[in-house]
Amino acid sequence: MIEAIQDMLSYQFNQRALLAAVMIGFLNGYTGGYVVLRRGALFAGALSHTLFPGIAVGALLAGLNPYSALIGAFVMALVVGLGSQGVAAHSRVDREAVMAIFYTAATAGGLLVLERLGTYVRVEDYLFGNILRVSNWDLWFVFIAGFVVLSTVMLFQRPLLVFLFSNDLAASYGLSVRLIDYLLAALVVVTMVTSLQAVGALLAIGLLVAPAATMYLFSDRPSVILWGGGVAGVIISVGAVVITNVADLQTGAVMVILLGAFFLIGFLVSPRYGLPGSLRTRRKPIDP
Amino acid sequence: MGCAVNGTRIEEHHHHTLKADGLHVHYGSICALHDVSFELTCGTAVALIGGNGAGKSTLMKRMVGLIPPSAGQVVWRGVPMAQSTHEIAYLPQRSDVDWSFPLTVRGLVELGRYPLLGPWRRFAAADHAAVTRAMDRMQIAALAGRQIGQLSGGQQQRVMIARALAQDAHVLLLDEPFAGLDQPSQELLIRLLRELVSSGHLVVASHHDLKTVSDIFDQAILLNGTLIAHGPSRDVLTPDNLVRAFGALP
Repeated sequence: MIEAIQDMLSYQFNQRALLAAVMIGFLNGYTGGYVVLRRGALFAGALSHTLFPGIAVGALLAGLNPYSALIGAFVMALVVGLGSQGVAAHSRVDREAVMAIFYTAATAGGLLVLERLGTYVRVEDYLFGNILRVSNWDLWFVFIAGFVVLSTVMLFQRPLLVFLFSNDLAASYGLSVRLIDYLLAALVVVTMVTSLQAVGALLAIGLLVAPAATMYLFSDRPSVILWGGGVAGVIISVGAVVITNVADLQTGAVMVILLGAFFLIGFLVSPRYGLPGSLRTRRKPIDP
Repeated sequence: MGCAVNGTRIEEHHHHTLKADGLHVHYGSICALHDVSFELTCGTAVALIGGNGAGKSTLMKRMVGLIPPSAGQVVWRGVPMAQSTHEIAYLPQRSDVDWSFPLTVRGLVELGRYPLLGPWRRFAAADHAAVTRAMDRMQIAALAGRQIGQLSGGQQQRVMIARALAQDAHVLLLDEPFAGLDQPSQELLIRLLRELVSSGHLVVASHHDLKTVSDIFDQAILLNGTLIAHGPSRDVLTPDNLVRAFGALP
């Protein structure tokens, strides 16, 4: 076993993959806590669908390469995300519905673009991720993006917590609810763009939401959900890299399947907020 | 300086006033509140009375700065309120709060210190003490570690008030605090609110049970999109005024 791991670590691409798994796993697990607490998985999921057409547009403008893919995905998610929010604010149609229209239209456009470019096949890495192919440049990108996202959410932890709990309370504290909402959406987009390397555009939302959602089944403390999500993200991402090294499987797919199993086990065993708690008769609140 | 900061300096703050001056609120073309003016003094309990859509919640949200002003101003301690202040706390209806949110009772009360500490200042011993004091006053200390969804309605209301006390709020604006509470919870809440009033807080609450208004509140404000009457509870709740507020005797 130890020999196998030593053997694995002797390859530079494996070293890079493990480093990427640690950073991407923590960043997504931690930031995903905010998505779960915001009950924003639907919105984040819709945002994740804009990554693919973004990659296509990037490829159209600058050829298919890591730079154009990341920048294209980021810009497209911001445009569709903020655009939907803007349209929803000025109409009676809700944000998620507007988004569904925009991202499907964008995806259709992306398909046409890639077909025309003849790069449809090579785009697979960006759809499903390929962590074994991360370059030093990718690692730097993940590190810097992760540093920016994590330092922002940690610096503004208190306003974010108040905002997540109650928009009215945040507004009565003099905080700009709209600004925080946009900021959080932008940070989530950056986080998902980093995970393109590991799990790709199609699976990004799973890596983002599953770790913290599982912690949410076990804890009533936001800090435990956030940090627990980060740690779970690291363990599962690294585990997936190790497993796929031995079994020769798609890393991104293994990662997301492990996360699904992790959540399912959490649901089955969590004494209070999982299946056992729900089956037990609800305890009555104590007297006033 | 402060009025009713954790029950101290009682004699200093009874004269602080909260003044509404010509408040108008419009939602698009709909006028929710028309030309409402009154003056309230610390150390009183004031009921906001009116039918559905009379503007009770709107008035409270306007007073705390949650709704951008269409016209008029709120003057607190002689100074026009340009932005929200921690001295005035708004407590939404219980049904408007996400009680499944992963927060403990103490965690929620601690949120009250955030406006005073800002995003970065450390939670010091004085802050922990203020939180403990607020919880003791609302008799929820024993529930400190409990998730907020696992409380009775009365306990939830008291936790929200404790949050406002931890915030050093002088003025408490409560949206239907008695809605859905059983008799013992109501009685306890009335007692605690009266204690806050006698220690100098200004308590303003929307209330729908006309029979209990005079027992709980010193004054009443009768609303129907605009101000119908304001004064001592018994003087305000006359049949004439009630017909003007509700269209018929409720």
